[in-house]
Amino acid sequence: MPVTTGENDPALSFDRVSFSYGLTPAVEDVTFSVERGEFVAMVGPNGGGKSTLVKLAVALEQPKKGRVKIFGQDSSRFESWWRIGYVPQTASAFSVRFPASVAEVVSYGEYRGFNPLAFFHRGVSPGVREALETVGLWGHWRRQVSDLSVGQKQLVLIARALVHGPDLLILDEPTAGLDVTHQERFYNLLQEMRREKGVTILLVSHDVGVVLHEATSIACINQALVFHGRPEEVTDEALSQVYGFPVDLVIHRHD
Amino acid sequence: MPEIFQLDFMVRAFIAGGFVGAISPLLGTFLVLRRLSLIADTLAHVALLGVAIGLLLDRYPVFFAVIAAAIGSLIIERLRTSNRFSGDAALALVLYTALATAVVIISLGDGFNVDLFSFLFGGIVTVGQEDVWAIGALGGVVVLVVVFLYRELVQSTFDPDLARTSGVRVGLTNTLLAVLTGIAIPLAMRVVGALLVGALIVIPVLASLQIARSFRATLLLSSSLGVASVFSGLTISFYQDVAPGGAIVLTALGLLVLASGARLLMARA
Repeated sequence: MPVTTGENDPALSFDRVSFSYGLTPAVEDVTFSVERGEFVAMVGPNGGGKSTLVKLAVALEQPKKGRVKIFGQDSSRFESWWRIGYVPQTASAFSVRFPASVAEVVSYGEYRGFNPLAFFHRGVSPGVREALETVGLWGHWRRQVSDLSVGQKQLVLIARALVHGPDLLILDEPTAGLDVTHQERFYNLLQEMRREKGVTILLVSHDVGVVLHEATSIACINQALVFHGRPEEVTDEALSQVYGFPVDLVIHRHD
Repeated sequence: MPEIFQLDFMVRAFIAGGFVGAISPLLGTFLVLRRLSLIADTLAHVALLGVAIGLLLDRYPVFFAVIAAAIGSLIIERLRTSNRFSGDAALALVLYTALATAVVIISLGDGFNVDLFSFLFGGIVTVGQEDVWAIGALGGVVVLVVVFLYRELVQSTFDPDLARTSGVRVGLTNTLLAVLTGIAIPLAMRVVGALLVGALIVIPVLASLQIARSFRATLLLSSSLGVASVFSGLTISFYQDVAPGGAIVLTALGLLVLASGARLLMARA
């Protein structure tokens, strides 16, 4: 049975976390929290440790030093995975001709533990339909996932993460393959989920201009945490420090 | 009753071959989609080492082949996930270690080269009643595990990291798949031989992937094509007096060509 955690614990917390791949350090002494209901965007250069922090956040890696807690529970002991929706940059099945329909792949997100009769389950659940309608792919539910475009495959992974109604969404560059229309739709969806369902969001993005507009909090990472605060507090200096070259911040607001 | 079914050894060949034809592609579907198609060849050589040990000790060689292949599959899984070796390097390392040891053992034992040949090239018509029981029982275990752990196996194949973040015990699932493959390979060797065992695990899956529209359909179709290949190959072998292992694999290849043609027709329709 999962351990019940206090309702006041942050959705996610990194406490003096360090991680290295062999002898190569990836993340050093990072401390910050993602409070419940927040929309935190992580930005930083390639190889700066953003994706490593995401892997630590979903317990795919364990820190060499420090602690990662998910809803107040140590990530190594976390079991309530139905509370988490994770969207990676891609899935390994997308490099082979994986024989599954769009609806089938989205249904993988409904996993709730061992079920010996799962082989005999057929049909599309209402949750799968709703998730596909949410990302605008319901019209493609029968199609083979391998026949979709890169952007559509990304939408399938997003629907898969949404299908079980997660409390915390962790997204690693989810809009990389999406066109402008789908990107806007995607961010509207995230805001709607945050407002109406109180979903907490941790998102990695290279699109600094967009996330400064969308997120409630920004974490600038380049192995160490360079800046963590509200978007309006982000300065040219902080971004220059994190990217290692002079950055002039220009934000286009559409509202 | 046709002449072919009046002979006890052919009836046993059809029963044992049917089981092997069904379970080999069942496991092969997961292996092919994980880019581990060549694991079957490696484990066949490891199983050969078990056969050599069994023959040297004058004990039931299939038992030793199953044990050797199961251990070999666990070693491969360990090497593969340790990130010390890439997947293909881990397979090559285990294959050559097993083959070299088997060659040394074979040179130690005198006079069992003929028995060993039936494992190298397949000896389905020499399958005894104890082989039928062993193949039936172990084949049943493979089918049950694949059905019961269907969702875990599929999710781990789709993406291991995503599966872990859904709560799937990926390490345990992969270990079970490795052990099941280790069990299935020596059984399949009795039918098509060590040199062609990979073909029975891979080719029906490739054929099925041409036309099946869901994962479940891919499993069921590949399994059916495996059985069809074995039954047709055995029949051809009996009436044309050719090697059954080769006839079975060539039949499977024929089915792959037909499935590819069907796919082209479906795409144009």
